[in-house]
Amino acid sequence: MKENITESNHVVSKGMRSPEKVMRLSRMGSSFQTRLSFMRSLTRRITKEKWKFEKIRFDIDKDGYGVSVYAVHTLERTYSLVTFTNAIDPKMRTDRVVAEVWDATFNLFDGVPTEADIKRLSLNTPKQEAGRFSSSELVLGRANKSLRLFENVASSLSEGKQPDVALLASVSYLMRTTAVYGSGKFGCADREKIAKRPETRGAFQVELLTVYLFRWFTVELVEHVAKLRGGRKAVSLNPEISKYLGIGNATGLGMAPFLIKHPVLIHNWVLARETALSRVIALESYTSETLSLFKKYLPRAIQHIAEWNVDDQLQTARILKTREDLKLLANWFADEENLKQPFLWERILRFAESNFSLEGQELTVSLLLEPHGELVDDLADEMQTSTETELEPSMSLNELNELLQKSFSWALEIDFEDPEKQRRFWYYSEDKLEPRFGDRYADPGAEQEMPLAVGRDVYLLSKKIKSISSNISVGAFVQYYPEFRHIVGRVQTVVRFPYAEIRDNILDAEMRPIDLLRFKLAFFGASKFDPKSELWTRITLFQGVPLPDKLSEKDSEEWAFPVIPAQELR
Amino acid sequence: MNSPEIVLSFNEVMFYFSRAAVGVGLPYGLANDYGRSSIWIAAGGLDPAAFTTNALKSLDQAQSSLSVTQTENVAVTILRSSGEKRLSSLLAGPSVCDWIIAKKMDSNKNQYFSAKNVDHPFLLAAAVGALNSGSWEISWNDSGGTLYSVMTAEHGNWKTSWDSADIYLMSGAADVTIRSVERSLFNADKWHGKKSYSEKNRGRVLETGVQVYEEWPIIHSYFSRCLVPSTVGSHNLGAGAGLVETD
Repeated sequence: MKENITESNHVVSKGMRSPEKVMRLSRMGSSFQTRLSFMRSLTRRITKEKWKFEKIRFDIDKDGYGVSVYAVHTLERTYSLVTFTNAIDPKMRTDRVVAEVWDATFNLFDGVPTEADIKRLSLNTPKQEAGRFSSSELVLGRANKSLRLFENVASSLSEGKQPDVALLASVSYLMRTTAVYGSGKFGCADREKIAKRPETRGAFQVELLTVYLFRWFTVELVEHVAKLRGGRKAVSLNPEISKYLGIGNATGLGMAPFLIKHPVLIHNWVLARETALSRVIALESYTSETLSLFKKYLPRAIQHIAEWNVDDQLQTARILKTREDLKLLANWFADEENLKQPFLWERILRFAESNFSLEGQELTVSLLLEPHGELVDDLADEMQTSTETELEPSMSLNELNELLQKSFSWALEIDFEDPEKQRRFWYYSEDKLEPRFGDRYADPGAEQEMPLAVGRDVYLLSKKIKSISSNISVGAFVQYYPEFRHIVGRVQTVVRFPYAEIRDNILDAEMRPIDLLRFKLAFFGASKFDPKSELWTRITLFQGVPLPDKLSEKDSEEWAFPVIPAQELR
Repeated sequence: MNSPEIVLSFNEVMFYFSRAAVGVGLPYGLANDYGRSSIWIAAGGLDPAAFTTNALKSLDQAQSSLSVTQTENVAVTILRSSGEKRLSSLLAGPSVCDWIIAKKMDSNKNQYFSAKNVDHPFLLAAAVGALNSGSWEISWNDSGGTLYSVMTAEHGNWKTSWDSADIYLMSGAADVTIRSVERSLFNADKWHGKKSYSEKNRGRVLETGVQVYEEWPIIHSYFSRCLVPSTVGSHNLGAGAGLVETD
């Protein structure tokens, strides 16, 4: 086992940023999408393989209520989005897990559904968690309208006008998803069913395909309502505007446990990004093409960040600082002398590390990867795993202790005897299994804590090992102390995967779950993070991507950092 | 047969069953092992609740123990409960798996494992099967002296020495032995014509789902012990709470 260990200093020796630097909550909470993000790899595959999109059914009334089926034909298989829309009591509209009604509910169906399938789904999909599904359904989701934007767009189009772009920019979507479930939830197909299919084996590809299809549906839905309302006077959305309309998403605490439960997967995500960055900064010289692309994306990123406005005060301050960082970068880049020296990309990274905020640094990483598709895009295929944590019973306790000292010093340095260091705990509420974040000393339920406290459990394991004088095997140890079985197996596994662990205390009184959410959502490819509290955020997905009928290979490459459509379209 | 109470995905079997185990007091590491064993049973087209609920009950009712002693000599490794209670299969199964993994590095391939007075012997076979680590024979005698055996082989294949899936055949505590066997034994006369399970079963169940019958409410009630009752305070502090909808 020892020779297989990929230690922290091993990745650093390959020119990658260290896990100690990258896997801190503050930096994870400053993440941006990159060209390796899952939405980006999905749109590249769609155009590369020339997937065909088809509207199979659209039985929607004048108010926008009914059933629709949108299909995508990939190289070998067809997948269909089945959507139900209906009127709901506005007082019942909430983004929370505990919601019971939604404006739209949908499934991604494996194949083309029959009438019987649609009838079955019509009885279950609108109920969401209270419904039951089969292995034909790969994804289950729901969405709510942005009331002010949906109505504004419908009204404008019905009157023959394009919508108010300023309003459109302030919202960015017609509907926002509030949950998109895959991987066997509520009886849907297990991940195992699709894990070997080329088009779905990548991380979250079916979930994001569902969202992309649903976004198409939302644009057609608003145009349909406008047309029935305005008759011949009505117009369709300008394609540049529909391209700018993403799909919203509200994300809460449910995402956080996923990151901690899948350490090897998270390692692979981060390893891919850090490998990509190391490849780019290792380039001694640039080409005219990569320089030209960087010059194209830098001003676009500046405008993108300039158009990113949120109510949250902390995030607003961070955005303002990022804008300043980008100005510095533009000035640095405008100095011809800086372009004459070798290792341009590495010097940009070092400049950012020395002068920028964490958000500015991570945005710079995204910008550095952007012109280098040929060099890094292959890494997107590595962002998955079937490796699970495994116990190695023949290891001695002394060896286990060495691993702890070597790879978990970040956890052993935390004083968990201090009550504030474990004030928080994560749990499932009996209220629709909503994940919640409790105060151990004030809220009930700490004894039902989810097993996510890696740092604390490592600390307790180390303490227990110190109390045992004989060098027994790990197998014997976990037989006597089975309460340590999960953390021992985790430690033994993740030492080979240096980016697997969040190197911070997620129980700390000051911990902000939103940092975990942003990290994961950035890997999805989300933009316009709009924190609503420390527990949840709204984001925009697929903003800047053309609708399926307009998606060309060039578009699939170049939709990063979307900006408000040009003035003449307004 | 009656209609199933619920049809689950493998992911749901893991989610509900492992937490049900936590609900009866099993630590998370062992609970996850139990979840994997339950999936292995389900992948054979069998109802995992029917085969495993009694092991949870035994632990919940303090009839079985997680406290063990293990001794070893050249011929055998013996695991037994430290006290008067029966040995919980929920601990014995993972212990056998640990022994099997360690055995890979051990030159003494002839040594076998013996677990004494195991509350639900079939769960040891399920743990070994879920480990998917070569060919093993898991055997025990019921109180009437009838021998029952399960043989696990490569690629998730396994056979039972009995044809029926009736649960009563597997009930009752027994001493269980686990031996490494030659791969060729799977197709030898001794096992010819015996009830066989293969990867194809797993593929089929992926399509049909896992049918769970009358024990499902018991699993769900143990699972529910892991949930925290919602209070007005916790409800109002949930993610998304208190938002004035202006979007």
